[in-house]
Amino acid sequence: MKSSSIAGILFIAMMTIQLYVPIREVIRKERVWHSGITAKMQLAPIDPSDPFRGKFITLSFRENTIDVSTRSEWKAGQEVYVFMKPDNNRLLHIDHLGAFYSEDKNLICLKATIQRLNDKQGYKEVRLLYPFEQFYMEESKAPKAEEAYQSALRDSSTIAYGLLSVYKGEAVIRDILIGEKSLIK
Amino acid sequence: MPLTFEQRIDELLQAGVIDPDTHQRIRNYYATQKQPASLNRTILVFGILGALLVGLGAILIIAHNWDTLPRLSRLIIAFLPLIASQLFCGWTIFGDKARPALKEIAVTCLFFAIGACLALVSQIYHIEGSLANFLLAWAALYIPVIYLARSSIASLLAVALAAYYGFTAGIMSYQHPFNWYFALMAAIAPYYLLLLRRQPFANTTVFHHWLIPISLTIMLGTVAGSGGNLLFPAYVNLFSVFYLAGNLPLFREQKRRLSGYLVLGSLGIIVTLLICSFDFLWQDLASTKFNVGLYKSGEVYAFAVTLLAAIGMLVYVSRLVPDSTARPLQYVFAVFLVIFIIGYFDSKLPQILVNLLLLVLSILVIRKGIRTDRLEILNYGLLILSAQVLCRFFDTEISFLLRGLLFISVGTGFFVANYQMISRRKSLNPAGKNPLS
Repeated sequence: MKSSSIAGILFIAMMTIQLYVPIREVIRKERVWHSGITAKMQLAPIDPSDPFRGKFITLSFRENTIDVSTRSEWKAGQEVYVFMKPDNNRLLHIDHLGAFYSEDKNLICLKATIQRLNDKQGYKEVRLLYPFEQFYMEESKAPKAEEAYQSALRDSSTIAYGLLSVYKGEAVIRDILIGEKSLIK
Repeated sequence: MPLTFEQRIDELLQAGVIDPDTHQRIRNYYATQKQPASLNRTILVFGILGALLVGLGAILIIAHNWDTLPRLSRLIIAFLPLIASQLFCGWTIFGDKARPALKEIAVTCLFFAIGACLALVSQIYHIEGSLANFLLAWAALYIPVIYLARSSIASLLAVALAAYYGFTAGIMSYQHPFNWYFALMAAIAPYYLLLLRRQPFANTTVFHHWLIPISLTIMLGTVAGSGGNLLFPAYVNLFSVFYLAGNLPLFREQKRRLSGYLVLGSLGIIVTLLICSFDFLWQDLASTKFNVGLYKSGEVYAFAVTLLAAIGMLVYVSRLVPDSTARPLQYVFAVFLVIFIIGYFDSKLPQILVNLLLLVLSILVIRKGIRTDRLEILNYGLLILSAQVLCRFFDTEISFLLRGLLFISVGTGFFVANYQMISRRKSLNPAGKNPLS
């Protein structure tokens, strides 16, 4: 086989890999978007910036800690599955942690990472990091969004939450709502 | 003003060296030649600059966030530049004619297209991820382009990206316990070695000689932690490796100002010694208590690796180039190591020794400048001395009169040394003509 043919094959292989990596992410997220169930998680934001990926809001969810026994073997940096129960307002609350994904009719399962463990008296507090804590916005909207959040936090009658699509532990954040008002629209 | 080529052949005609027929044939011959290489290079440079600016502009527009567009439209816009750049790249590589200038533009476009696609996809789906992971994915997808396109510009872009990744992952090491920087550089290294063999004097190869040591210098700083003082001897070791590498026969054949390893190595050693000529390091070192944790810090490993590299490079260069008078800075790392060890036990003596070391080095460099009749090396030695005197201006308690006398002495030394060298050159070559004309 000529060296130019080999080079051609390798070039096509390289093109395929360069396209495959982002397309694989697109397929995964689209599956979650279309096949996942809708859920709400209450939150509060900060506003940094990534030079390559535009303006985003870092989201901090209220349901991000759970108390566990001192004998439990969870470690910081470990990937876990958070089993959550929706309340009457369909807001999610943590029920328990699991090392593996499992289907449950009454619970919604989300993948997360243990950020740290805090030793308390008689128990440990697990602090969780969710893989959807960055929400990209049009850059002029991000500071206004933060202002809106701060106001929402001061007003106890208004609930700010993230609207998620969840599918087999994977989640995509579709929107941020304050009361019932979308930040995107 | 130097004469142009046309003026020179007119001069030859007027002097009777060539006849009018020969004069006309020479002019006709060059009029039919292809455009000169310098014009090709100009087109290449501006083409690459144009591609860089377009690429940067595309990234800025992407970062503006196109919320108003539907997801499908945004996905199409994300992938379109990538596919177009890949096809453009393929055409320049496998097309009927070789198009080296266009190829370099194509690889530059592909570089930014990969980054833009990854960025936009993560933006559309709000995908969580650190900047370091994003840069790693970008670099890993781009590196094969270097070999398939055989492009030095692609190699330079990959080195710069790997350095940015390494720095980002290094300063956020709690999130990235394993830094892939060296793996990325190892993937780029074969192409760099190929360039050294096939195009040792090409401009793009020379750019590598600057970019690689700069990226390694930045990377070393990211290991800073609990054993921070060990970074000083680690840096001296690293700069010694560069300095010795710059003295290898391959790099010695280059013009001095183009040899990144030699210039960065030499300057790095001197600047580090100047910093260590102050007392703050030695006071901190003498009060440091040994603990086990120190030996697990990144600085210890960095120090050990750089020390072994410096020793290895010294042995290798000494075998290839036995004449060591051309390398006055070659043993600095060993001497500094001894001074550093003394620093654990005493805070005053090391500072005196470092200043003595700087004085000796400046004398050795000045001597080398005189022996090799190189004005720039002579002045470099005087500059080291001046910098040392300037540093002492800030931290010693000698009187203003004495400081003033010191500055006058060094300044006078500059004038006298330069005047003597230039006078000696004139006495050897009284007509002042270029011996090659």
